[in-house]
Amino acid sequence: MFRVYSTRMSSSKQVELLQGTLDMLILRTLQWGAQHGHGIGQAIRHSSADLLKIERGSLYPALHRLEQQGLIAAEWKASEMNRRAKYYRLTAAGKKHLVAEQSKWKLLVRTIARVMRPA
Amino acid sequence: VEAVGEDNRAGDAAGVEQHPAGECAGEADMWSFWKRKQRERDLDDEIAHDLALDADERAREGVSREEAEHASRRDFGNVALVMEETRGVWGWMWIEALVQDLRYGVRTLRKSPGFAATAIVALALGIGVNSAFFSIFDQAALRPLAIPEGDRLVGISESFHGQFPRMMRGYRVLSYPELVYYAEHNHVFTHMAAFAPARGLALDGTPPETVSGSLVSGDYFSMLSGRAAAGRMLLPEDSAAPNAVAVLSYPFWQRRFGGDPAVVGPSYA
Repeated sequence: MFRVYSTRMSSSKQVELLQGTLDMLILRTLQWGAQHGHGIGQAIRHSSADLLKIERGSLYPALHRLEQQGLIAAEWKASEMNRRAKYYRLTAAGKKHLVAEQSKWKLLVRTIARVMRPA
Repeated sequence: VEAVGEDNRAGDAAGVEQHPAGECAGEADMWSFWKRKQRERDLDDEIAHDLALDADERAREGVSREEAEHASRRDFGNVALVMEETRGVWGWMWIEALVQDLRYGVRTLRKSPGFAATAIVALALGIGVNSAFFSIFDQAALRPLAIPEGDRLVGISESFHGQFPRMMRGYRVLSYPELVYYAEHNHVFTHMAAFAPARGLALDGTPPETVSGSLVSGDYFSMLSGRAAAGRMLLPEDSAAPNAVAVLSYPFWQRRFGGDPAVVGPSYA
């Protein structure tokens, strides 16, 4: 990973997204079903209790890269209000990738917590 | 990128008509460079859809439609930049897809070696024959002769029309007396000279060697403006001289005589 995903710090309560974690969040969100770009952004925001707000400038490049990598697949469908929208969904490879990323993430969190615990 | 799972072209390469772009009609894979225009339009639509939904949400909270759209756009950030960054993701993927396509092509060809061999031979023959013909044409017609005013040089032959024996028909070379006759009555050409292919043995030393050359009339070199590196060229008087005079080509002089100027003068039997 060579991109730092920035989040808008409109309030001091929002947190900065760790490098490389946006892909995992997108894959996780798509586990609940196909969704379009806007919906993915909203879902991450809601499930983080508004602490994470994903910049579109990070979200769309990430979506297109994941699509290129075959981790997600896209399909044009009619969305709410009968608009044409590009829906992304997890592929089998994407599911596998998510599982691997999740266990890596858990290990990282445990390890960091171990180092940071009060002496 | 190889292990892309079910959506990729891992399926059997049944034939050319199997479009390996997956189920997204050329979106998942950059199957071809020409799909790029379609992708540009899709990205436009995708971003526009995002902006529209965002504006809907704001409008539902009671802001005017116009204000909502304005706020969405402001919050979204620089649309052109977002699109640029997204397109940046495709950029190098295109090269990767090209490599994939090439690999796919090689795999397909490998599965039907007979077809592959036929196609390769056909292409090789086509290209080879074309380039061979071109080199001949280039030498014969495109490159000017290495003499001054080479475009004014013509060859003369004669043909007989009417009741003649079969061997007399068609184009024929001139005999020397004919040439002399034509040259004396010529009012068309600046010069006329004769040449005939000849083959001889060089016996001046060891080992003997077959030499190919031409028998030419005395004014041959003055007509072509040839100059001698050593000694002299033929003169018109040489046509009637009792001893034939020889002119060596420069490569032959260098190769057989080592460029020795002493080769000029002596007589050879």
